[in-house]
Formats: sequence, C-alpha cells, structure tokens
Amino acid sequence: MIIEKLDAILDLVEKPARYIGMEMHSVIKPDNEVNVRFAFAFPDTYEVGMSHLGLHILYQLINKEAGLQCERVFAPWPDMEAVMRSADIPLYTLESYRPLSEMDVVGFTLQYELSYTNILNMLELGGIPVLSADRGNHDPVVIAGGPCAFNPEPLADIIDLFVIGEGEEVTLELLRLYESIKPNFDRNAFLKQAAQIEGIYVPSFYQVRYNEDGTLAAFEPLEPGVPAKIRKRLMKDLNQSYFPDKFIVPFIDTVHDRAMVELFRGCTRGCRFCQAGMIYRPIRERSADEVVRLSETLLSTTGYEELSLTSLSTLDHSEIRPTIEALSKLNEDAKIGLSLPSLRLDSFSVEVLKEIQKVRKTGLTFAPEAGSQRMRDIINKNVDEQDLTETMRQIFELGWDKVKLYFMIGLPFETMEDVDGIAGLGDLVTYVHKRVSSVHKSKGLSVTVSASCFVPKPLTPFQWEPQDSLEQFKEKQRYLKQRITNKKIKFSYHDAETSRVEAVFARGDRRISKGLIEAWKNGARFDGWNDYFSYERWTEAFEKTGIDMDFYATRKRSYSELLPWDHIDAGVDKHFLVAENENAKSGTTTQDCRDGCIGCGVNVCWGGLC
Amino acid sequence: MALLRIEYTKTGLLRYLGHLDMVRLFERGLRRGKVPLLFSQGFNPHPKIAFAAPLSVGYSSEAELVEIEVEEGWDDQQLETVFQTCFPAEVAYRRHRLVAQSKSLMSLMRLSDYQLTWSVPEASCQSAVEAIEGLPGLVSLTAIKKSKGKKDKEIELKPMVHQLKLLEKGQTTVRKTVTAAAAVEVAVCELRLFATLDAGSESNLKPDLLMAAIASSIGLEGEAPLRVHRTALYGEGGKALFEME
Repeated sequence: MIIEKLDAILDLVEKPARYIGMEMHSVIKPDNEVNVRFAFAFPDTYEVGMSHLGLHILYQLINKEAGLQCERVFAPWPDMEAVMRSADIPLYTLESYRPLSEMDVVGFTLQYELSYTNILNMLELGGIPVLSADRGNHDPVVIAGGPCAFNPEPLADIIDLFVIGEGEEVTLELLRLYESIKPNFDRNAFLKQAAQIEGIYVPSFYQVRYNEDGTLAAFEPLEPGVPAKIRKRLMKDLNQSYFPDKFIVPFIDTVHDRAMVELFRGCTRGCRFCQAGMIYRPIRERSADEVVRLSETLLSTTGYEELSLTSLSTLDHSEIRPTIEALSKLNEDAKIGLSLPSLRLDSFSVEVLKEIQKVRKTGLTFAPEAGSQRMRDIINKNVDEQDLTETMRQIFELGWDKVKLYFMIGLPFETMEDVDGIAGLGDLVTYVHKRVSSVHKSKGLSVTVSASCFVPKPLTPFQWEPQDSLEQFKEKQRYLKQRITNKKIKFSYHDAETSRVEAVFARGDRRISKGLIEAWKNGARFDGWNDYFSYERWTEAFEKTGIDMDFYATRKRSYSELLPWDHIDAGVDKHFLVAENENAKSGTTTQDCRDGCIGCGVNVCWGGLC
Repeated sequence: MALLRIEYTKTGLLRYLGHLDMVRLFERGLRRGKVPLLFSQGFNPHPKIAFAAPLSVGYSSEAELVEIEVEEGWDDQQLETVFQTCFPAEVAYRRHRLVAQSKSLMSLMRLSDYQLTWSVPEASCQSAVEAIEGLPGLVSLTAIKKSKGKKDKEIELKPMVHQLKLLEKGQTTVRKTVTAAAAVEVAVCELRLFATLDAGSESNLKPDLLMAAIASSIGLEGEAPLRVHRTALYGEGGKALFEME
C-alpha cells in the first residue's frame, strides 16, 4: 500500500504536506461507486496547481457526477522524486493513493510550455509509457487541455487526445464515453469514437508532410470521418454553466490561497500579443447577482478570508460597480479581503482600490506592456502616458507607495527608442510622485520596472513574427540596466534563455518532441523554475536530435505558410489575424469590441453570440 | 468576549502540517463552522487564536491546546459539532472549557510528555538501551544547537530532561530504510520510550535533539528514525495545563 510506505518516507522531504491529500472538500468515493477514475494532472508543484481555478471547477464538476471520480496528481519536487524512486513508490493520486497507471484517464492541463518535461516525468513515475504509441489497452488514456493545447503538435507523440477549448461539457462527454465502452475497452475504438466529439483532437489520426525547407507541406486526416479542422468548445452562457459551490481548501500556503470567482471569459481589448485574448473569445459575462451569490457560498463553505475576482481584465465587467459594492459589504462584516488580479490604468481602478483597500495598502501592479506610444499602438494596448500619469498621481495622493510596472521587450518591430521608453516611464512615475502634495502621500516610494522577454504565440496576430535572438534580448536588458540609474526604481528582468525555449515549444511542430524527450532523459524538469532550468541541457538535446531552435523561435513566417496549428479552430478568423498584423505594422489601433464589432470571426462561428 | 480553551489531537498524516498550516486550518475551520470569532484591532485584523506550543512537523499529539476568543453568549456546546463537520478527522476535538482572562497558554507552559518510538539498528540496540538507562547517572549531556543566522551553540540538555524511560524493547525486524540516495535493508529494533521534557517559551527541548545527543554519545551513525507523539502539556509544578488559570 502506498499510504503505508508514505508514512515511512515523508520525514525525508521538504513540505511533506504537499503529498498527503486529505484536505477539506476533497472527494473520495467508495470503490463500488466508481466506474471511471480520472486523474487531473497538473505538471507543476502542488502549490502552483492548487492555485489554478480550472482544477477546482473540473474537480467538483466531475465528482458531483455519479460513477465518476476525479482525483489529483502534481509533479513531485526533485527531493520527493528521489525518495519515491529509491523506495519504489510510483506517482500516486492524492485521493485514492493509487498509482497513475491504475487510472482510467489521466488529464494534463497545459498552462505553460516549460512544464512539458514534468509531464513526461510524471507519466514515467506513474508507470505509464511516455509515448502514446507504446500504450496498450491496460494503460490509461492520456489526455490534455488548457491554453497550450491550442498548439498541440509538440506533444502529439505523447498525448493520446487533446481537448480544445473549455472543458466543462466535453470532459464529461469523454468520461461517459469511456464508461460506456469500459467493459470491452479497446483503445483504438475509444479514440475513434472520441474523435467524433466536437473539440477532441486525436493526433495519431493525422499525418504531416514537410517541404524541403522544413515547413509544413500538408496536414491530412488518416482515418475516414475525423474532422479536418477541430473547433474549440466553449460554454455559451456562463450563468447557466457549472461553477463549484466549494473548493478544496489546501493545508499549506499556495500561490493563490483564496476563494476565486470567475466574472467572465474572454476579453474585448484585443491586445495583439495576447493569446488568451484571442483564444477565449467571445466575451461571456456572469451576472452581478450570480457573482455575489457564488462569492457568499464559496466563502461560507471554504472559510477563506480572501476572495479574488478573476478574469482577463476584471474591471471591464459591465456590472463591476454593483458587484464590488455588494462584496465590499462582506469585507466589513466578515473581515473578508477582496483582491483583483489585474488593474487598468484609469481613474475607475483608483475608485475601486479606494473601496477595497481601506486600511492596508498593498503594492499595486500595472501593465503598460511597452515603453513608447508607438509600441503600444503596435500591440494595440490602448493606454497612453496621460493615463499613466493621472493614475499614478491619484494613487500617490491616496497614500500608495509601492508600484510595479510590467513591460515586455522584444515585441515585433521594436527599436532601441521603444526600449528606452520603458526607463522613461519609470522616471515619469518618480517625477509624478515628487510633484504630488497630499496629506496622505507617503514619503518613500518604490517602483519596480519588470521586463519579460516576448514569446510570439499561436493564434495571435504576431504568430508569424520572429522572436528576438538571445543577443538582441541581452543587449536590450544591458541597455536598460545601464539606463535605469534612478535610485527609486528597481529593474528586474526575466532570463532570455527560458523565453527562447518557451518560444520553440509555443510554435513547434510534431518533430520537436524528440528534443523534449532527449532533454527530459538528461534530467530536465521544472524548467519554469530558475533552480532547475539549464539552457545547455536544452541546446544539447536539440542539437542531438537535429532540431534547429532558430527555425522555430527567430524565423519570420509568411502569411501563406501552413502553420502547425492551422487545423485548430479557435473561432478567430485567420484573415482577421493577418489584418491585425498589418495594422500593427502601420501602428493603427483597433477598438475594444465592446465599442463595436471588429469582425474577428467568432460571432459567425457561434451565431451572434457576442 | 468569551475565552475558550480547547484540547484537540493532531494525528495520522496530518502530523506533517506545520504550525502555520495549523493556524490557517483553525481560522478557516472555525469560519466554516460560523463560530463568531473576535478579531484583533489594527491594519490587519486577525482572529484571536492562540496556541500553547507549536508542534514540530512530523510529530503527532493527542493533547494540543489552543485558546480562541469568541463573542459573549455564543453557545460553546456547539464546538464539538463544529470540529466534526468542519475539521479533518485527524484534528479531533477532545474537550474544552471556558477560562477567565489569564496569561497566555504559551507563557504558562513548562513541560510536555512524549511517547517516542526509536528505530535503532540491531548492532547498536544494546548500547542504546544502556545509554537511556544510564542517563540519570550522567553529569552532563550536551548537544550542538543550530539556529538560523546564529552561530551553532553547545547546550546542556541534562536539566531539561525530567524523565526518559524505556517502556518496551520491540522485536528485531528487517526494515527497508529509505534515503534520497538508496533504500537499504537493515535489521532494526524498535525502542518504545516515554519522556518528560522542558517545553514552553522559557526552556524547550525537542525530543529529536535529545535522541540525537544520545545517538552521538554511543557513536550511532546514520539513520535512526524517531517517531514522536505528544501526550500531555503541563504548567508550573507539573499541573495539567488545560486546568490552569
């Protein structure tokens, strides 16, 4: 029994409570009530995975269904992995403590590309063959979904089937299908039937041919009856969609250790670099009443002292005022803290902040994304210097004194002048602070300017654009380090090497899984964590498997090139992406689609949904 | 305002929860149970929950104490139900009582009883037994205490040990001992011990440190896993902490 073995080894690892399960609102059904066991697999630590809203939604959704049991599994930290290997403990789920190999279906969520090595590691630790082709009728079906599934190709040899889009309905359809054929389970028959479900992509049913220059020549179905294009799934009406009335409450501190209510899906702003803003269209809101009702229920069932209103740009919700007013009352009555994941640079954000942070003033993060107006027009971030100046003036007058500004470097068509604008905005903020005179103004000021390295993503207007080379990134980082001499500004930046590996996978095709497997065999895991990422390991792995990183990361694609993810239909028209790329080149902005339809194509797909 | 002193357990795999995890567990469990907690004043109001003594990660207990402040007039007979419905089974209610405003539990606490299970390699078993039985006759037993950011310090353990007795010497069994590097089969004997040690803010001796000092005094190298279970907390003069005012 795994649980008995655990008892003997948990003293040897750091944060043992990651590996025990048993939290409030975790669900464990008696064996005789379970027909299908599904493991929700998060390829990162417990603390990261338990902060993911999608996990909580699917977990409670599946578990409220008779006959289905959803369990959880996370990537063990390397100290635990070593102990598990020496004690012969396979990777197990936190509910029934069964090895992963005893699950019927294992579903990975693909939140970021740098977690892919953890997927391989978890499969192997769980006793499941790493390659789809090596799995037989007695192995679990390995599935994957989430944002990175919109370019499934790098994992095509590893994952049996992908779920494209929102998972609430399709996961249940899939598990019920499994249940119906479980008595005489045949893998191939299951995959064939699954491929008929809208939103399901079975990569082994398609073949890819390549041109001599390495680009794709053709992408063709091998099986009769499988769709040539796979259209994403989505929930049409959020008010009718399932949202849990309870969350598992972790014992240990997690990244986002609070109740979360989703206000809406999609985003209307149309930032051209943002994959989420494209693939989650159209906008679908939950009503204010429903948000308040869910908040009250969740706080009462979880005992959480903090509530987060999550969405891509939360303050854009059309009933945000009444929602926040109603929720602030809870704040006063039950000492509940309210947090917003993102703030806009406008006076409405300041009003809201005044409402929800009456006593304690935490640091505030804003995302101008780019330093110059020219660049912000290119990326369609409709914010100007005036917005920044005004917002900063107001928050300083009210007494806030810690500000973090988030930027990207390496955006398409960027010049050194644009990069210089990042430092300029930092200086501007300190200048605004100096000029503010208010009784509440704090004497100290700390500004953090953070610059990450841009990764072009599939299904965005920048999907054809080259990523900066390592040298370009480093030159820009060096420039900013020298340029930012202001003592009140702290400059932080992300490692260019990790962004380069991320870029290879973001726009990779089927061939690069060989590099992935090679890197994993050489010890790659937790690549999203600085302590474990090794760039040399990746360059060696790609070299050995004959993969040219530049072909994927820094190459400019033509509009006519067949892209590895062209068979995935996110609802947004490719012509729209081309038009937006052209608009970027000419610095033409596009309006927020709440102000009028911009013709992205989503509205056509689902018949006037937005 | 009413002050409730609660005795509870911490057992099973939940012994791996750290002290801060327990603080969160109580805050959220009591909120789930709609217990009308009182909050501290100030910028960052926190419910008034105070524990007697943090229990190390990995130790279990059948007699932990915590005090919570609740609104006057709340029917405290509901407390057991709150634990049954809003807390994990491994953190179980044992008893509680209303106390008058007093000194904090932490400042009243002086001693703890522990049951220890020490798995010693067969080869060292006899000398371990002798060392334990010989402890009262020793003039001094020292250990090096490591603390973060400070120099290692040699401390005298003898006055902090009020009792250490061998309850039972178990059968020798072959055990798989696991480390991160390997798993090896070793013949071990299980020594079951009972200890009363200093505990509290004035003077505190963790069973780990005591057993490590004994192990090193007999030249016992390597793994000798220790399982610790706390059974009682006492105040001045060995009075049960639960009863003290």
